[in-house]
Amino acid sequence: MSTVLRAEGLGKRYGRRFALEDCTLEVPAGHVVGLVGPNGAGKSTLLNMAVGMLEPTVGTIEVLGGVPASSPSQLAKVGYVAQDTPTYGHLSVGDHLELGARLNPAWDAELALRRIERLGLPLDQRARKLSGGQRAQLALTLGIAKRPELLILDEPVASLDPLARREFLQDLMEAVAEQELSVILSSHLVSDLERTCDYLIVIVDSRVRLAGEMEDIVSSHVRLTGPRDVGHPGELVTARHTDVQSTYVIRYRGPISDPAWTVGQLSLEDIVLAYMERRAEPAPRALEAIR
Amino acid sequence: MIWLTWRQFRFPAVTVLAAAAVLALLLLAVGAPSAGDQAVQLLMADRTRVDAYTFVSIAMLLLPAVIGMFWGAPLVARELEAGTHRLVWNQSVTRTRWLLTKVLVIGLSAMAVTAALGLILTWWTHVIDDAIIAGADGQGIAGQARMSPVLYAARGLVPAGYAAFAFALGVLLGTVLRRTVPAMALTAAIFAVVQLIVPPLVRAHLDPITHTVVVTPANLAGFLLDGPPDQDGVVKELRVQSAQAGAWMIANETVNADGDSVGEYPSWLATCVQPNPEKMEPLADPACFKRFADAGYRQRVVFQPASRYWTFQVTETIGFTLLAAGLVGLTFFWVRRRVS
Repeated sequence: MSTVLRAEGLGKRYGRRFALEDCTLEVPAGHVVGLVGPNGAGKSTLLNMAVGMLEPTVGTIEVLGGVPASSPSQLAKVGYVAQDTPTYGHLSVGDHLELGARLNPAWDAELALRRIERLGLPLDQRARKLSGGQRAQLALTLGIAKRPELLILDEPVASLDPLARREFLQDLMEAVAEQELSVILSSHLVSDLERTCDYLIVIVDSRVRLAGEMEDIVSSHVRLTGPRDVGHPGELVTARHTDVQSTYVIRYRGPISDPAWTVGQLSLEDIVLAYMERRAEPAPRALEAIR
Repeated sequence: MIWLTWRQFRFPAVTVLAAAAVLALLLLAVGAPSAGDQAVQLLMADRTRVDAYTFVSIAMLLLPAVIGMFWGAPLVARELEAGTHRLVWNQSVTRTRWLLTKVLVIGLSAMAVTAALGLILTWWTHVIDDAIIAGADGQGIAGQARMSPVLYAARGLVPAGYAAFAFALGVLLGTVLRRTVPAMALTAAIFAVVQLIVPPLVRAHLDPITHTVVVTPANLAGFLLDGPPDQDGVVKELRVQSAQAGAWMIANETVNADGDSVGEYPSWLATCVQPNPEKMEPLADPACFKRFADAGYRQRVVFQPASRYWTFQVTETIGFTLLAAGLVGLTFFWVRRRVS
């Protein structure tokens, strides 16, 4: 299967601080990709580079085989719903559809109109007067009706209430099913992504910590509890110690037969949280050495 | 793209076009000054026409700044402020084409409006301009030559050049500052500075004509004392008539035998001009001025002649348009590389 996004050694620096560092990724087509990480981890930076709103400081990024935003055809292939779903406040819903139709050769006017009707948005309503959820839906409509191969959404539901959030994501999933497009969707909440995505990328502290198919991720991480300091199999994610026992979250595929270990299953949220925790690790370790 | 440009631009467009239409209608309503030997005097006596002339001229000086502030500065800055650049730059139109369409459509509209008004004002004043070039005298705005810096900038073709420049300046500043209001303020400030420094620093140095003449009672045009001669008054300033009618007088100064500008005049010069008890005009003593000339004093007159008016207008319009193109180029660079 082809690749929707390929990054190699990608980095973006602001002054002395890297917003994203050493990012190497290959995202296959046909997935709904969730990009998760705490606020300020570098999710928006990655997505902004994927649509060409930002230029990388180092490394390369390729989207659907081309340089982001390099040509009208490249722009036509990638739909983008930006953070806070910006719309023109003084333009009406109808004007936004007209804008989409005029600026996109592959515009699907019928699809756009059908969506707007189903959502119950009046065409002559100014975007300024729409609710946050309605504005997000309008932005999504613009993104979908341009008929892209890849739709990128940057925290589309961050400012929505739980109900609008659920509706938006459901609606997005319906569109994905209808149109066979690849989607990359970012959020700082695992729960937003759990139901919708089948591929996950975890970014913490401006680095990609984990990327892979959701099923693989869930099946390849376990929690092990056993006697203190006897070592563990697989790749360590986090470790927690009490006086007599240690608890590890590890990445390990395969059976664990040692009866000394208690094996626990992890939910997706547990796994993501474990990766987010890892950044705070060096400090406790140092304390332990002293003790 | 043109549809979107118009859709977003129509309110500021209609506002400025309405103001421009009011100016044009005002000139048409009061009618052009009547021709004839006394054209300048007739205009001076016509309060309505003088007021309209003054008002439209001042408006024309401000119009490019208004265009820079209200058409230029918000063009990119408003998108950046509202975040809508992230919407519009992700349609299937490159940023370059987006900016090019907007800059061309709005920039050319700005030039067209200002050029049209500048030419309407030129038509309205041509009788007066002809009379002044032919040697007519007058006071106030009616007696001003169109070569003089203030009137020069208010009509003819140059307003189009200024408008292009102010517009491009506004677009660039809005893109760099990313804020509409500061960009508007800075656009107006920089444009005002450019308007003030171009005449003395550029136009005055485009190969001006210098005449050095002997001061005689016949060509004496100004004689300024700081007190009556019998109470130790001394001459502060001496001026002669301009060598050519309708010229822009850049300098009119007294030089000594060495050709240096004179700071202090000899004290006896104060008595060379006496009030005439019978007429309004004072009496100048020819012998006294002969002594002044014999002492080596001359008057140096530097001016740009009226005949260069259209050459200057066209050159300056082209110059400012090229400057505007340069600013637009910088904006392209900025929009492609720096903005996100």
